Amino acid sequence: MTGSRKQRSWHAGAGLGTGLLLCLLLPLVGVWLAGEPVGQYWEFPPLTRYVQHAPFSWPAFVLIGLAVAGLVAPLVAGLVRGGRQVRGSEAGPTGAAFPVWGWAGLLLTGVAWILAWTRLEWFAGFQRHTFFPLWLGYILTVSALTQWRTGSCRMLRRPFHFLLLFGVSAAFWWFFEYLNRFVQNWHYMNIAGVTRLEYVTLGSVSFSTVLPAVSATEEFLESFAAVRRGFSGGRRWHVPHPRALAGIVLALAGVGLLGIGVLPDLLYPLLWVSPLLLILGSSVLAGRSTRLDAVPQGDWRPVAVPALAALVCGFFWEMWNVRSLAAWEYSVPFVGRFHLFEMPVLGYGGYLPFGIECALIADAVSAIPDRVLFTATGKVKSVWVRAVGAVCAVLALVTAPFMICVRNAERAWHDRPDYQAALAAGAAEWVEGEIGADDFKTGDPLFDGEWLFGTYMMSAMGHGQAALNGVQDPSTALARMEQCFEKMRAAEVRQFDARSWGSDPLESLESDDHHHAAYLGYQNLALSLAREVERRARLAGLAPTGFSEESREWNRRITRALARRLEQSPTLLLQTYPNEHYPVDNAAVISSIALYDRGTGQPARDLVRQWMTRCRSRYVDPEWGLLIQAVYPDGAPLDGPRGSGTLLGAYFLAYADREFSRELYAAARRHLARSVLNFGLVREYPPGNWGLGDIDSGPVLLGFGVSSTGFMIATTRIHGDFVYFRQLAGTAHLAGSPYRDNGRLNWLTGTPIGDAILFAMFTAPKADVLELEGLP
Amino acid sequence: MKLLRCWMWTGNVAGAAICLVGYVALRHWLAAEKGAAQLLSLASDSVPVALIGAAAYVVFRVILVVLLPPLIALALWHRFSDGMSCSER
Repeated sequence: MTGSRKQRSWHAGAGLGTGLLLCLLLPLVGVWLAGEPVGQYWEFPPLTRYVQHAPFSWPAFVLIGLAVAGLVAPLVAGLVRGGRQVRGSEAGPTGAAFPVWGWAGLLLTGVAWILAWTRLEWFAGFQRHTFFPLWLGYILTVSALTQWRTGSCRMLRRPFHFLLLFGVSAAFWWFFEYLNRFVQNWHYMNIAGVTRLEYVTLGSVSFSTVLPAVSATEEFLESFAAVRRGFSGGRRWHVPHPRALAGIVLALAGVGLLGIGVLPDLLYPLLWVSPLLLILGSSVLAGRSTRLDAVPQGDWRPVAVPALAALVCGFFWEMWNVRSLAAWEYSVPFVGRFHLFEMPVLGYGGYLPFGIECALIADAVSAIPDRVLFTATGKVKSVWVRAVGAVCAVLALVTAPFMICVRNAERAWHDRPDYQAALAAGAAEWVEGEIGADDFKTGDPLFDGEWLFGTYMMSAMGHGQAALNGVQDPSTALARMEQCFEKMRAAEVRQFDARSWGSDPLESLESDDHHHAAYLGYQNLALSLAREVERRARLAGLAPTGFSEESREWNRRITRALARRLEQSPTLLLQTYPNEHYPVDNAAVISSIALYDRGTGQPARDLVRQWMTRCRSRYVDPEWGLLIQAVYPDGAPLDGPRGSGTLLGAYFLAYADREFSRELYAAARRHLARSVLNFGLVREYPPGNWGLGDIDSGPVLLGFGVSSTGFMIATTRIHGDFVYFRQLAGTAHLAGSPYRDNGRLNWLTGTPIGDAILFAMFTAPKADVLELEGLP
Repeated sequence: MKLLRCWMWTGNVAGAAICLVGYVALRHWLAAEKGAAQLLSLASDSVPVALIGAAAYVVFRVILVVLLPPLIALALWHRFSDGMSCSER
């Protein structure tokens, strides 16, 4: 690097700082001065479209077209002139072989391109992440071409400086993302469900390729004599009063940025132009050298080649974007016609100033003195080695594990039949097999029995929900549910409840002495769901089979008994076991009654409304909005609010009162939901409260409960929270360790009840399905 | 630090291979045993086998899924950073 170029670069860095600061502040100040809300610009990830763009306009199109043509024409003229000058004498490659790493780059680009433009089933989970490998391959390929042609390239000549460009590039493009908030000229598609941390990390990784790509392309273009000569002997352009002009340009750019958020339709071109004007203007005013210094002598290379390089990159950005999953779309005022890929053709004009901006930033990075980066022996200083190593490790830690674990989440969210069928088959295996209470080792025969019963109950819920979601044939689902009902009614399965009460829950339905809230409530919810599946199937014109008369009769009798017992209870709560009152179990009871009413075509009875009112006022903790886990016989709180009870209750109540369910879910989301490395984890107790795990919560590790985390999966589906659903699905994948075999999906670290619960959670119907009459 | 470097330079390949082989073997064994439900049943008969197997599986899974990506990133970076001398001094 020559001394003057070094000096120019260093000065550019100083001008850059001033320019960037102005660009950051001015748009916000403008919006604030105009008295408009600034909060919308902080939405993250940006999903809301708040700028309404002007429609296409021919006069504006012609005007802007002329301006763009005025910029492009000299570039074309320079290339033509250079081509004529070197006709036949353009030097070819140096004779050295094309570098091996160049072939690797080419291969990487080719593979990434195929993956980006196809939708291969096995790659679906990673489909959003093709941008970085595509562009890494491009950078390697273009650098290898330069190396091949000239025997040298920036990437090998100054590898660490080149590497730093990746980091700077990420920050650089975030800056344009920031300016885009004010004009909304582009937006990203298929990013629903992405967490903030994912958006930051994966966005940064993608953005990191921008500067290296433009820089490598600039160097590659400069390896052609036609380009060098075409732009070095151009028109001499002498500005008579450069400082005065710089002052005017600076003022205009500043005022423009001030108004960009207020008049986005008129001032949007400033997004690309004003950073350049501010950087150059401030540099000229400060007497620093700029990339325009050689222009009076007719040397346009420092500005023309990077502009051209950005245009070349722009072509590939837009081309690869067009069929990629995580793509962007443009909304450009007045000129939104005549697209080349997604970009209106005049939009390519923005790449010209952008290329020069890229060159200015690259200059600033190149100007970092070697003494700052290297030791006396020429090695990278250890502080930098550690810093870059730490960044790489943190990025890998934050991105890779979650990316691996969340790859099936979208299939689960979108009710893909193959996924739900595999879950159904995994759960059905336990129902069809011969398991007993002895297969559970909770340490208490009561809980062993509960878990066996729960396995059948949750399996039945899963099958019924798969039918509601339209991914399982109603007759198949009802037949599988019927298997679960038969198992649940088996004497050895209901033994746990009968032993606790000293009376059989089914044989004592006509007596109200013993409530049997859990056994009857949970089973009845599944029975009522079967009735609802059958009703909807009939509304859809089907004639479903599988729901037996015997089960139908049990549903009727249990509903009648539960409703009668509730009406007699002063607290509107039934006992799960003698003198044990759990609001969550009663949520199953009341939801089973409400669903029965719906399944039989009756309006919901008053009892349901009364119960909801009572529960809201008495059994929801006023401080946290969460369901109290256990209460005394008089209804006073015995235990505090808990995640497991609240979220299981919110799941059940979605069948009876979606608004109440949503309130409980919202409280849990606010107070209990957390995220670690993107993985969703749900607290069992509200912040500041601690407790040990029990049979309801499962193991509680660092305050996070297994049950509360699992139950929340269903409520995220019901209430449309795709972002947190993905996070929880990632956790389920990591901790549950799914295993697919012969069309079945089992969770290796779960138990039969784990398989059944996750089946029910992953098939919980979304609000729109719950509201349907008929099947989707 | 030395230990970390040792892992990165010499142990990472062997370590990753051991993790991978152990993980896959345990995964197949667990699947054949119908998951942890059977493991829990086994626990009453042969506690050490079941518990050690389950614990090893969880450890291998955490290493492979959560810890290995950053370790690979670090190892790659250390491999390349050594070659990044300043050639234009």
